[in-house]
Amino acid sequence: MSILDRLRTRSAELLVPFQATIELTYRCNERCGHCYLATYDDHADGRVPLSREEWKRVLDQLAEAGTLVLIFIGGEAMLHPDFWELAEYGASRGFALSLITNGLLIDDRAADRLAAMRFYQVSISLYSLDPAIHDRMTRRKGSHARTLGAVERLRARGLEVIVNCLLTSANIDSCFELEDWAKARGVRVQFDPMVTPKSDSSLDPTLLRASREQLYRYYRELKRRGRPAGPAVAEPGPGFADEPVCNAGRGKCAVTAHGDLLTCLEVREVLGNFREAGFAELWGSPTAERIRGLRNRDLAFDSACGDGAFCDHCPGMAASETGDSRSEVPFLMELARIKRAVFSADGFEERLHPEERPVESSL
Amino acid sequence: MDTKKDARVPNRSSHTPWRRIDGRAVIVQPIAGRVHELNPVGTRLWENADGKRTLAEIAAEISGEFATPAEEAFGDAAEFYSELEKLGLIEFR
Repeated sequence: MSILDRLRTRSAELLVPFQATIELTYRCNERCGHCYLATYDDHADGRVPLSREEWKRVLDQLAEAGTLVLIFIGGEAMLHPDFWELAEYGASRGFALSLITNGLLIDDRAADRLAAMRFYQVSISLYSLDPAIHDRMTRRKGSHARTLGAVERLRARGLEVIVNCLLTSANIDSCFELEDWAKARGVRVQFDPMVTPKSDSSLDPTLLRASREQLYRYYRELKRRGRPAGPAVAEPGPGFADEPVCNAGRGKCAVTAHGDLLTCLEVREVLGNFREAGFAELWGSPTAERIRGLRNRDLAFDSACGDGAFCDHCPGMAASETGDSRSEVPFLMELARIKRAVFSADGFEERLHPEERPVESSL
Repeated sequence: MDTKKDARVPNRSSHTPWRRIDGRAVIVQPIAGRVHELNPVGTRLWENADGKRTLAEIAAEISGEFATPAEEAFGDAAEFYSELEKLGLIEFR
C-alpha cells in the first residue's frame, strides 16, 4: 500500500477530508452524452455561482480541515475565468493540486503554467485512439487532436498525466489500442465502465453503457494482460458488516459551483451551503452523519455474497437509479458477476445461468 | 561544533503541498512524484523551518520538547535539514 493510500485510509478513520473535489464551473466546451452533469449553465434555476473571493474562503476552510489533495473539475474547470488565480491560491495554501480536464484549453502557454504551479496530477479525458470515436463521444469535431496534443505537452513538461477513459458501448472494443499508445508514452490509463446517471438522477447516460458481451471481452483482455479487475478489494472478512460502505463524507468531500458541500461527487445529497455555514458545521451535520454512517449491514441486499471481492456498491449511483442508496444497482451487480466469472478460479462462470453467460461474437 | 552559533535559517518552500495528518507531516513533491511522511520529530523540524528561526534555536527547542541532549538534537536536526535541502524541500537563508 502506498503512503497516499494509507493516508486515505487513516484520514477516513479520522473523518479528515483528505481529498476535496471542487466543481468550479458547469460550463464545458464538449457535449459528451455520458456526462453526469445535468446542466452546462452556472446560473441554471436562478442560482448564483461562487465568486472568486467566496471560493478562496472555501479553500481556506478546506485547508484548515486538513484537505491535502484539491481536485479541480467542471464542466471544464479551465473555462472558469478565475481558474488560474484560484489554482495559484490553492498552491499557496499548501494543497496538492490536481486537475480533471478534457485538455482542449491546454496549449503550450497553459501547459507551462500548469507545470510552473507544480500540479500534482492532470487527468485528461480521452476516449479512443480513433478520432472518429472520440469526437463522436464528445460531440466536438477536432477535439481528439487537441486532447492528444494536451497529453503530449504535459508529458513533455514532466507532469504526471493520467488518461481517464470512461468505457461505453461506443469505445470499449478499441480501448486497449489507447492503452498501448499511452503505455509507450509513460502515461497511465484508467478505464472505467461505470457510466453514472446525471446529477439530477436522469438515467440517459446509462443507456450508453457497454453490453454484457463487450464487458466480458474487456475483462478477458484485461486478465490476459495480467491486470487486475479493478482496485484491490479484500474478500469480506468477519467485520465486514460493520464496515462503512464507502469513503463518502469520511476521507473525501466535494463542493459544487454554487457552494453546496457534498460528501462525494456521486452522492448529490447536499450537506448545506458555504454561504450559510462553515465547513465544520456542515461536515458535522446530521445529514453528513447519516451518509457516512451507512454500513454494509444496512444495505438492502447481501453485499457479502460470493461476488463481494468484485463488488463496488456506490450509494450515490444507487440513490439515482433506484431511489434508495441502500438498494442494489443491477448494473453494478452484473459487473461484479462478470468480473468474478473472468477473474476467479472457482468455476463460477460454469455455474451461471445460461442467460448470464457471455455470448461470444464471431466478429 | 558550537551548536549555539549555527545561524543558518531553514526555510521550507511556501508552495510545497503538505498537511499534518494524525500528528505527522505529509509532504508531496509533485513533479518528482514523491510523498514523504515524517515521524513526530521530523514533523516538528519541518514545521519549525519557517524561515524565522536559526538551526541552533530550532535544535534547542527540539532538545527540550523531546528530552534529547542538546548535541544530539543539533546533530539530528542538521542532518535532517541537509536531507531536505538535497530533496529541494527547504533552503537555508
